[in-house]
Formats: sequence, structure tokens, C-alpha cells
Amino acid sequence: MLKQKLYILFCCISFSLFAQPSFKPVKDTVLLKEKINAISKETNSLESDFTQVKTLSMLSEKITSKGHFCFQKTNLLRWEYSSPYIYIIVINKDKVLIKDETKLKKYDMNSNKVFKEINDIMISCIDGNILASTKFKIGYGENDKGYRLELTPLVKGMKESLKKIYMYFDKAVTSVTKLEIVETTDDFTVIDFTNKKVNGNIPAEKFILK
Amino acid sequence: MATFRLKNLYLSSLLILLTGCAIPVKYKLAEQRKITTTDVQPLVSDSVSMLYKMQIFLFNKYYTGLLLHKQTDSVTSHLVFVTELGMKMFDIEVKKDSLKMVYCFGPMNKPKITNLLENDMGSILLHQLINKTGKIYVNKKQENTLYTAKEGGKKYIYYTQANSNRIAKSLVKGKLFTTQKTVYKFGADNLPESVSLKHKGLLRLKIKLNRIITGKTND
Repeated sequence: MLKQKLYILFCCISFSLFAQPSFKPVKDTVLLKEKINAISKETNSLESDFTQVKTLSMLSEKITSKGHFCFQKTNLLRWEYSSPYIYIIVINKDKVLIKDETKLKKYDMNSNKVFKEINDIMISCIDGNILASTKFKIGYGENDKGYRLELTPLVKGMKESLKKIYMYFDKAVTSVTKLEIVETTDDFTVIDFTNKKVNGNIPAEKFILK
Repeated sequence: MATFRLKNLYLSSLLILLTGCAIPVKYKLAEQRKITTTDVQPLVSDSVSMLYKMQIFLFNKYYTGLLLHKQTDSVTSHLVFVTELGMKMFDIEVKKDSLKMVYCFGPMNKPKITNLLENDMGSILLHQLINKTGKIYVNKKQENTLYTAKEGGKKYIYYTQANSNRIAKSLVKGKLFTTQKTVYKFGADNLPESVSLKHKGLLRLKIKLNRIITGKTND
């Protein structure tokens, strides 16, 4: 019984820490939406390094992956993991290409609902078009360092596995600085973007895998 | 001519059937008793979290990601499979005598798949052998041991490495044929570096695990 009480207390403390109360509701959401829409229009390409930390809450364990990410309008995306091993995912229009060691797999985006959903979320989070999505309820928060969008899934099929997506922007709203994906099991993944390069020239070969 | 061919086919089938079910002649039965962790080295550590690159080939589908094993208390551990993008695919709770799927990602959450994963993970972790009553066979020439145990109408056969209590290979036999083969390779730290499990017959399933040493997990 004491163990149970301690566990509940621990969960409450963890939750209150995780909730990050420092974010207050944004006063002028119209202005923030305009800023996000503006970067969405102005961003033709984006390149950055990323660190992805998966936290398995019940196991108190973290799994860290690192890599490089490229995005090019319209609908070209490359996630290149370099650690813990090399693994590349390229989304080229309606094709998904995966390179794992020497194996190359090709999928048709429309034939795989899961890929399509992941792709839509990822790309719309990066280019800011998520604001137009009807699949999420969006909450807007801010603190002295930047803004946070809280996306709550509304559609069946997504609600069962995804609890929230948090998108973080710097104060100047130049691009997404961090993504946080919280699953219904309370496991969560944080992707930090660093060394960002906006509207640089990305060679077309980056979105082709052979 | 046709009758001769048919006879040959019958004879060869019978031979395969007989040899397929038998323990190799070079192994002599030594005793029958409960197999413990002194006889066979467990494949997971109670104190260290282990991370593997996992590849699953199921018919024409291919899944990859990271498999984490972590002990959560003295009798429980978990096997969690997470894709490269960070999506959790399954979480299996491992107790001393059982494995239970506590989470499985929507499209995979079907009894046939979850049962298969529980069985295969149990088989990899030697659940059908350790703490079970089995037969012990010894091969003096190669100085290795062979263990057999039965569970759910299947016979599990485990071969150790020479002069070691580490498992090198295991076979699962159904009523007639071998249905599954697993091969283990160990690293310098005495923990498995790679594990390869392959189903034979109609079920085209292969699981490969390769340990990730550099990408250590941390709290």
C-alpha cells in the first residue's frame, strides 16, 4: 500500500515537472499564426542536425539517436541517422525509400497508411502547415524563450497511439527548434534540431536512394 | 520406372522423418533433471540494459528498429521494440516463467502476431529450457552438451558451445519436422552479440538481433 502511494506521488511529481507550467497561453494567437504561416511560405528548404531521445517512461530508460535532416519543398524529406547505426529514410513525393545497411526498400506512400500519416505530420510540423490541419486541436503557449504549440489528435486511429505533439519555436519564430511526441503510454520522443540552414541549396541526389 | 521413383521418394521421406526427429548418435544421454542457470548461461543480464538492432522479415514485410532489454525488478524485465523514428512497436513483460505482451502497436496487435512474438522472444531467451525439466546429453569428442525439453507439443533442442555453458544453437521440432532454428554468437563480455532466429516451413519469419555497444542506453 505504501509502495502504491509512493508510486502515485512519484507520478504526480513527474507529471507536474513534465507539464512545464512556464508556458502561458499566448495572448495574440492571430499574430503567432501569421508568423508561422509566413515562415511556412518563406521556407523552401531546411537542413539541420538532429538529436532524437526516446524516453521509455516505465523503464526509466532513454535511447538516443543522432543524424542529419533535409527538407525541400514540395514533399521531399530525408532523415539520415548516423548513430547508433546508419539508417536513411527518404520521402520523395509519394515514394518512401529506406536504406538499411545495404538493403534498399521502396514503398508507395499511398499504399501504406502509417507512412502517409507519419509523413503528413512530419512535413506539416516542419513547414508550419499543421495549423491548417483538422486532425488536431491546437493550443498555443509562450514563455520568455519562445512559443509552444500543443497538438492533440482528434481522429480515430491516431488518438489510440498518440497523446500529444509539442512543437517549439524560438521567440523570433524562424523555424521549429524542437519536436516532442508523447504516446498514450506516456513514452515520449524529443527531437532537437541544431545547426539549421534555411533556404540553402540541397542537391537533388539527397532525395534519391540507390 | 515410376514405381521405383515412388519407392525412393517414400524411403527418403522416411529417412528424413527418422533422422529429423532423432538426437545425433554422438550425443549420449547423461541425466534427466531440472535445467538451471548453472548448466546454461542466461542470455540477459540482471544488471545491464542491453540494446540490439532488430530486423524482422515477415513474408514480404521488413521491420527494423531497436530492441531494449531492461530488468525492472528482481523477477521482471521488459523487451521493448522501438522503430528508428521512435515509435514503440511492442513491449513484452518477461517474468521467470512467462512472457506477456503488455503493449503492441495498433496494426500489429493481432493475436497471431502477438503470440508468435511472445513465443519467439521466449525461445530466444531460453524460457523453454531454464528452470524446466529436461534431458542432458553429452558429446565427449566435441566436449559440448545438448539439452532437450518439451513444451506445448514441441521439442526444444539446445546445443552448447564446446567447453562452455553458452548456447550456440537451438532447434524447435514439431511432430515431424524442425520448425525453427536459432543461432547465437557471443561477445567478449559473455553476452550475446548476435542472435538469428528463422522459422522453417510455411511461416516465413526471420528475426535478427545485433548488439549495439557504442550506442549505450543511459538513464
